[in-house]
Amino acid sequence: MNDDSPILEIKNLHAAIDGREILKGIDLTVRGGEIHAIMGPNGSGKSTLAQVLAGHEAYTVTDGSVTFRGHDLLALPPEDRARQGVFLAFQYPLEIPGVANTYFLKTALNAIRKHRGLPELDAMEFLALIRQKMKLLEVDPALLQRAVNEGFSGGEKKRNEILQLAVLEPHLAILDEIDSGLDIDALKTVALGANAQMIAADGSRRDDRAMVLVTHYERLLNYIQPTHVHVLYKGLIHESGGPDLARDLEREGYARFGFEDELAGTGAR
Amino acid sequence: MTGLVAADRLGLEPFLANRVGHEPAWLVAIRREAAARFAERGLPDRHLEDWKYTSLTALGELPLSAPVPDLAGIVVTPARALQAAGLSDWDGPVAVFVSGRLIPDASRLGDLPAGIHVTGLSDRISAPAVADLLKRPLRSDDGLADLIRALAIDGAVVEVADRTVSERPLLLLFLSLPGAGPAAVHLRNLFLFGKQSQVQIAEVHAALTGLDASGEKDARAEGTRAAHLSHQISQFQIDAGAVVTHTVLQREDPGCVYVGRLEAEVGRDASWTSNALSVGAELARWDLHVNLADDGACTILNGLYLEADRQHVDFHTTIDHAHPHTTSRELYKGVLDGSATGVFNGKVLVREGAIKTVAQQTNRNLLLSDAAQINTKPQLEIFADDVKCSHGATIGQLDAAALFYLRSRGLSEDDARRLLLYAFASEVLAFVPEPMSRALSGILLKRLPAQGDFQEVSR
Ligand SMILES: Nc1ncnc2c1ncn2[C@@H]1O[C@H](COP(=O)(O)OP(=O)(O)O)[C@@H](O)[C@H]1O
Ligand SMILES: [Mg+2]
Repeated sequence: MNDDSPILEIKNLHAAIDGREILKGIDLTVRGGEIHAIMGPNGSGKSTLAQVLAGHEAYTVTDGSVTFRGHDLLALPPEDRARQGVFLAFQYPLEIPGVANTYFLKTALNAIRKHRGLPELDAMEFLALIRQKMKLLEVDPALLQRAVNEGFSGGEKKRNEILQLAVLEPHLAILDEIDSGLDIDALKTVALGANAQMIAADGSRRDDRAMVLVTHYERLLNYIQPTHVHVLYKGLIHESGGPDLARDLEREGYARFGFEDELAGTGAR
Repeated sequence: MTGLVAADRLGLEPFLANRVGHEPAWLVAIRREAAARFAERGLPDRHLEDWKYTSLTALGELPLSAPVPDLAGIVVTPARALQAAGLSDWDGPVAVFVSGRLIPDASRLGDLPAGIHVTGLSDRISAPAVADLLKRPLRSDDGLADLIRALAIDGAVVEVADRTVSERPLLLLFLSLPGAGPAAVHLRNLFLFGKQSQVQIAEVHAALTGLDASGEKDARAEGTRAAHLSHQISQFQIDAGAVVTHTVLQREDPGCVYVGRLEAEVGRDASWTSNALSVGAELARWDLHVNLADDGACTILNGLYLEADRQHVDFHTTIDHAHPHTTSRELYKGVLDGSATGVFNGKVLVREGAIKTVAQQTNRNLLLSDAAQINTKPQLEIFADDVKCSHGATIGQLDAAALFYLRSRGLSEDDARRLLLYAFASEVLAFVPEPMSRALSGILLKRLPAQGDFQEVSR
């Protein structure tokens, strides 16, 4: 990969599920150091885009390409995408009863370290790392001993996703509705984790990392400043701009584009 | 089958000839009567409701009786026996039975807690409590039960004195000698728990393969398919207030037909927990019959079966709520791969007057391939008012969404599958005491993503 090639380059991406086309020609380029917000009403295809990037097999890519740090992302199974540095924070994190959160995190981290040619961490080294991350994110250490997401509150699940992000340190973090259902404290934690992901030890912005924030509401963008904002509707990006676009949306709503949030029940087109 | 053929196949007379002078007349009479009964009805087959989905035709023309095994040349040490059972690091008390016979040299019974006695059945027949149990009819009533009553050569007797309390399990190893010992082994084990005793018993049933008499490796390598029958009935008498946990791990070799029957009488305010773990044998049939025989009696039955290739497993459980305020809870979980087949039949009988009975039954199955099959059936028969009975059964595949979640974090598809399987099984493992939980999780963990430890993986 040469240095000025983007982290993520999506060209004319079409994807379908059960024979129904959801993404209808997405173009998106994300470079190192950038934070892109993808906004749009419910049902637009935001989660579909996120899941396709992570490699969910239920979705079929019918056209287009996705290049991740110079590699054909679509050719890889989900685990290889993760190992190369793609991370998706799920809108609905899964519960895995019977598997301790700490074991899950350690196994994931070591799978990725192994792929990168780094030595695997033993239990003690891992514990030291995770303690430091938990302290930074103010995550309750009790979450480590519980089964992955089992019986976690909505906020705990989202904090746990951010903890995974902080431990796995991907090149590309896709956060799908990471802000939904969070109280202000949890939202701050999530923002802290997300921002830390983008900042190097010397305080400068990391140009080997990028982030895609999928969000339904603008609230999150008060805590994580995007560099780019896109509006997705019915499987297409209708408008792209800077942070101002999010502010306009907040003021005017999606009506400005001639459509309404389907969730709001207006049903207008 | 005609009576003559059946009796011939049993080889009863030569068998009895060997025992003349060793056994009391009443026992010989029981053997003759049971053999005659077997001649009438033979092995159970699909005409019996309880054998609808399980066929013993795998036994073929196997002789059902054989002379008492000559163990003179077999050298078994505790270490060798524990290794065969997969429990090499167990340093607690252990009683080793080879083809049903207690081998003192292979056992470690010196450090048994006071109040616990282990003997071989053949040495203990004259004890009144033992004789009394042997004379009583069995709960199991079919041709297999006849075989046990006619041909049982030996087995374990565990007697626990009133108020004996011991944290550490007593380990019993039942080792078979496929290809060398008798083709069929019929055992009777008797467990007598005194009032308010609190003990744990753990059993492993496995093949003693890979060694000949002199301890050298021989042709009977692991995995040899020598057809043999491992057949046992264990009776448990649990006196008032006793709290007993009994765990069996069945990891017989692939040529084995395993029949394990557990019959428990649970007294007033007493409790019997059974953990039945079935991973070996080509066919394993389990019958558990629990009689909650007095007020406040309680039983907890847990089971885990892991089947692959063409293995078949069948769990039949019967809980008899004969008295008020009795409680039962069942949790059976199974994983079936390849063209493995399984049966779970859970009968709960609540007799008239057994008010305030609580009975809960759960059977969950994961099918990992299209060819794998499970037949699961609850059978609730309730003749009392004011009871709480529930049951639930599920058959499903590994959760695709959870698999994707794990893979999206870098776990390979194989590792993600294994982790989910382990998670599924761990709900049962949580009930299993050491050293069994360690052995069993060892079997499961061998294939986990990282070298984990049971405590570490589990929530
Ligand atoms: N697994 C699925 N099966 C069927 N339809 C789906 C599935 N996932 C998404 N869809 C459909 O695709 C469209 C876009 O959904 P989604 O990507 O979840 O939108 P968003 O995240 O923007 O709310 C919706 O019409 C939804 O019903
Ligand atoms: Mg969504």
